[in-house]
Amino acid sequence: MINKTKNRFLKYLPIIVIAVYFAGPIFIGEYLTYLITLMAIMAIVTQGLNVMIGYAGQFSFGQPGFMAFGAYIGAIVVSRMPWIPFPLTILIVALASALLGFIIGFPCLRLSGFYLAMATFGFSSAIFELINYLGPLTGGNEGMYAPAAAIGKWKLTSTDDVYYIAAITVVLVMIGVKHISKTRTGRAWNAIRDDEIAASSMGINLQREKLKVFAFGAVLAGVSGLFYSYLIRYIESSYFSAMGLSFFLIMVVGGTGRVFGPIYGSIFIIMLPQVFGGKFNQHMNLVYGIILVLFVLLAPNGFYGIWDKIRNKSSVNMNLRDKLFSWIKRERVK
Amino acid sequence: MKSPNNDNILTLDNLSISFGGIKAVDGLSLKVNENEIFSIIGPNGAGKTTVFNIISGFYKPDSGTVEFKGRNLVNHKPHEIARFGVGRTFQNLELFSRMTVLENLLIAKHLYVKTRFWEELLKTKNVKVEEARAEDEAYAILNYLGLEQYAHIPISEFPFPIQKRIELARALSLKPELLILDEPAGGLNMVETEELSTIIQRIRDDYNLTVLLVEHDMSMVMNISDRITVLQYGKEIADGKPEEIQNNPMVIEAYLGKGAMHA
Repeated sequence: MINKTKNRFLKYLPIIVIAVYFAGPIFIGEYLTYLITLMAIMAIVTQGLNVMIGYAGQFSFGQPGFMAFGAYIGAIVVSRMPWIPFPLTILIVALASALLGFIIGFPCLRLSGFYLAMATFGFSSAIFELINYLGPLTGGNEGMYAPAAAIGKWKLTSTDDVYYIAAITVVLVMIGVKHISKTRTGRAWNAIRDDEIAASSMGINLQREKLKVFAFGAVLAGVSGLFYSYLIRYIESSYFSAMGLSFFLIMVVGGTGRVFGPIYGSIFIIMLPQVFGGKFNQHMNLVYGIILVLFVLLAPNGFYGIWDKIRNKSSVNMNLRDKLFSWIKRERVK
Repeated sequence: MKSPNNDNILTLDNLSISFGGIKAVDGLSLKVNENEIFSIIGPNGAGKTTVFNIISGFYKPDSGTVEFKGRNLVNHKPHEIARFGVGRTFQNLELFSRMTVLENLLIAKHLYVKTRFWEELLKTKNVKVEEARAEDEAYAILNYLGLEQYAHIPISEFPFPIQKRIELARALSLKPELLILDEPAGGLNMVETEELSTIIQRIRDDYNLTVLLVEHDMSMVMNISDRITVLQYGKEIADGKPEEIQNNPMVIEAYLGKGAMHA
């Protein structure tokens, strides 16, 4: 009976979280609204990473690069053509990011594990360098103003407005990923993650599915980059390059390969400095680093894994260490 | 005994591949007729599994052709060859061991679930219909092989013989016309092997397929094969009906060594 209640609670937990999201700004004031918007943005980009790594086994350090790309494309396009309504901006950014995802994914097709991680890391660094280099377009090191979300003369400049856009998107993204995870594409991605030989002999086109997951991760990162630019209104490449670790942290803390993991992870990561009352703000990276190490060593499946353990249910072991370093094993076999 | 008819479904012609100077398969030619159970046997390292890996597209031969239903399979990728109608199992099992039995079979339905990515994101009606149909088909095969009670249990919880049968079920879910079985009886005891022999013959008849078999269990091979090819050091040394193979001196020599005939 208790078990049943627990199950029911767990089932409705995401809905409760979502409800809180929507009722949010009315009660909590601007600063908390800002934090929650940030959570939503982080959850969207981390969901992309989660799908790439947790579902499809494709390691990517490219998310910060795609996020910066989305923010800058949005800012550059809209600052030149202010009449574009923001839903169209989102579409443009999504398409551009998907295209870039395909382009970056293509040379990465033959890579996996550690090598793939390195290649995508290189891509991110290249994007930041490119942004700094293209001064006339991007403002270079100085950064640039990002236009607010707007439809015609109706400008959505307040934090609350961005909050609603991001909150709706994060809900749609979670539902979409939940759906994919149980259908054809999600199964194909899982198959590639677990065993490429078996996957290909089941008729799964490895290259096409890898490109798809790359583009999907890129779209989520690009769109969340755009939302981030709406939120902070002034963008510099260094904002994005500093985020590299946080997405991994959020993913691991929440639970890799779990649909709602990125939400719980981003709540934890963003609320943690608030719990300390801002005393450790200078040292938060140290704290995050320690948390990441502890989770990877002691609870590799994050909050979801701990929760599964409490309920005495064996969780699907995502063992990141094995996956990232699978290339060592492969070398040994040769 | 090579059939001159045009009804052969698979034709290997002068197939060769070498790995670092070792000729794993050396000028192999054979014809498999539609609807027969064709076995490739030979001592360890004779190149049997290599032939399978060439047919299913994992290796590219140095020379020669693999013709399946009139189409050359060489230079095609494994997923394309699966689409053409070749299903296979693996010597050392390549099941998705963290997933359930049903999930494994559904992955094999990848080619038959006709849904688009955006439909899946929205979970449209079409997705629900296609998923339900795929699940029904998967259950039909599980029922056929007596595995339906295991549907929702992860693969890793099963003993080896059941996993073997699950892999067979998964290969069948691909709706292949040619089913390639790599040592299906490996690790099975005598009773299980006999059961498997019956199953393979039943599958051939009920699903109207051609079976290509590599197997070390001679009683099984002799029992169910229509024709047999014997490989040694990548070369064909004999081919024919089971009774012909059993009495072939070359074969006995290959298996037991020189002098065995005189003993």
